[in-house]
Amino acid sequence: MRIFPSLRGKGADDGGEAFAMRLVAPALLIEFLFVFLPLTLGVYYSVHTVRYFQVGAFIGLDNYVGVLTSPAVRNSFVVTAIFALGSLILTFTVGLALALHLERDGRMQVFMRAVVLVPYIISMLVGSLLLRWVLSQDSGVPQAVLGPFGSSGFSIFANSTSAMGALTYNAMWRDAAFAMILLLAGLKSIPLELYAAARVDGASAWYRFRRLTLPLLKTPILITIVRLLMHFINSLTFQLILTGGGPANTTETIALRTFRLGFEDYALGRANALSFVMFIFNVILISVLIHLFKPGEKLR
Amino acid sequence: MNAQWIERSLSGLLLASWLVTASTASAQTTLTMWSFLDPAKDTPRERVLRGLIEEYEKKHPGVKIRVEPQVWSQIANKFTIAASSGRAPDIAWVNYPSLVLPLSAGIAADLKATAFGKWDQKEWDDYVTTAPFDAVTQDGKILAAPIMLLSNTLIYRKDLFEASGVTPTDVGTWDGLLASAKKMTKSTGGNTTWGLGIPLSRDGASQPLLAVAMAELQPKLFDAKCVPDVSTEAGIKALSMAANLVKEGAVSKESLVQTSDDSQELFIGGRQAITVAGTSRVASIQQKAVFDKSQVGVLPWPSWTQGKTGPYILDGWTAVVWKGSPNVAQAADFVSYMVGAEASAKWTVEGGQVPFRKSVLKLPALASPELAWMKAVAEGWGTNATFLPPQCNVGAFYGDLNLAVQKVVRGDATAAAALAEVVEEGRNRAQ
Repeated sequence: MRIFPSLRGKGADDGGEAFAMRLVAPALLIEFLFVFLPLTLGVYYSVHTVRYFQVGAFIGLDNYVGVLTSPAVRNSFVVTAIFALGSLILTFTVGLALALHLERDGRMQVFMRAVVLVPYIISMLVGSLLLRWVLSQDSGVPQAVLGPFGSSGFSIFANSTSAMGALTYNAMWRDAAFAMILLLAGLKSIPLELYAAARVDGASAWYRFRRLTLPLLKTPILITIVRLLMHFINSLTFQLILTGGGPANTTETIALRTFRLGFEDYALGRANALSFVMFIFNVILISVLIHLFKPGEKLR
Repeated sequence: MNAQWIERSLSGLLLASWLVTASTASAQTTLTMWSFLDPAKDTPRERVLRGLIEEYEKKHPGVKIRVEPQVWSQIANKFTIAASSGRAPDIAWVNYPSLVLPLSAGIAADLKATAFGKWDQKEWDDYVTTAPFDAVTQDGKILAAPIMLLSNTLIYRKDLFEASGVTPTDVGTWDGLLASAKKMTKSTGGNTTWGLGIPLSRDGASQPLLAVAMAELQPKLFDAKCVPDVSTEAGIKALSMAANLVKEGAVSKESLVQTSDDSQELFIGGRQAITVAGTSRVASIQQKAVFDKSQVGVLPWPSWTQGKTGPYILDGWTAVVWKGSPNVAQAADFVSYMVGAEASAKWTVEGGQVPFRKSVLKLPALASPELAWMKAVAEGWGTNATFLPPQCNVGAFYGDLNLAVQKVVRGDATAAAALAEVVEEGRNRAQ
């Protein structure tokens, strides 16, 4: 017995098409209001002079040329690449290690899964503020760690390399649990019989990981990588709270640069142009994700 | 007959009640005001605002003031956007560095054409300086009214000065400040107490020490088109001095990424001998200090010349009346009341704000030695104060100055190159 009418193979007169449209309409309306409309407005502003929230003259692609030729924006592209790739490698590695370590459903593993989720549950802002104080020169923690190595006067945030390290650590600290969840779901879907058979054949733990786990985790790994990469490219909170883009703009990412263009320089035209460039980049990343889910091209 | 009588009576009652309601409604004017203060709360300034509103409503029975508290840093943004959609409040509190938004958008009503036009000369002469009004006067129109003024200054610990044999006179010059701060920087048991704390983060920059040092040598820091005019000999001299404070160890390197709040927290926690803070923060710093609060003192800015003091760059909160408000005259009248002599006395005596009216300075409540610094600051405002032009993006300029210090300290740029970048950034912004 059917609860809902079949939508396939029926004429428009039986109400199937209309019923389908009614079901989809709220989602389309939300999509229009919160995605299409802001995006269209953003594109409109990006080709106009918008200063101090006042829309001025149409200037074509001047805002795009302006932001793409700006040394500060070019610097932010490099910083974003370093931050996103560094964070991705660190977060993914830790997430995978946690997923492998906590895969079994023993009491301790279940408890530890909850523990490692704590940084992911608390707000990004609060977590970054917490790390800001823990890692500050005056909190005493860096002093205690680095003092024995003769670096007692060292400031993590005043040095560009260590500031980027702190930023990457912040990203890993928060998002490793997210990576763990995605990868754990993949691990759970691998039939245990495969491992049992490999053991019977005398395969070592490393061999089983390399020849069984990794190939069968290919899709979850790719999903995790694309999701994390998009998140790190677009994130603002880590940089805004932890380093403020400093010292000397060495941790100023594209998202932070866009924020400053919009809400410190009040140059919303340029900020929207840079946002749209970021949007295009995100579309490319999403295309990769969609491509991975194409029927017949499953990696597993 | 009976039914007809009842029907007529009911109709009459309905008509009468409608007339009463309508007349009440027309007599009642509600003014909406956006402020960072919430009169429902209980800090000294919030109590003052509550009291002022209650008194005004008592004097004007047909007027209600409804305060919609806002996040301070967002008021100017929201006010400007709301005005463009015709839904702005009648009055908004906007701080001087954010005035660029309503002034550029042309949404501020002329206060001189309303309540302020009725002020007599005695009222104007009561101000220690008319600079706060001059800064917001365009083509003879007064576009904002100062509610409370503040400026950054040096806040210090008397006990740490004494322990190192430093006197307030020693920090009267920039060179003296560097030498004294170095002398007071001490490491004990792995903890360092810094001689001086200056926030040098690009974010939330407020009146950098560098701007003060520049302003003494070169009073005009912007040209007529709002492009910073700092790539000068004076600019290079001031920037080199500010960078040396960090390079020579009088200020921690961590200060390159510290905001005003971070720096003040460290002072409160006893980790700095001197800090840079707004005059509005003195009372709260004294209240929160982990050491004896009577040891907190206030010093004027150092100068390039012995015996002088550096200029105060004035800042503070203003009230802007929305030009599109249906109640411009009434709103301006309330603003006039909120900044009047009577209200100013309350902002100072009960709210702890530095006075900028001569009549308030003469109040007996200000005669106590603990408040002597307030008088000194107010007198300094009267003789040695400057405003950066509110029609320019002063907030972003402050951030650029801090960025220049960061670059020079790290050796990423020379002082001249860093200032050239400040000018370039400012030019891009002004276009």
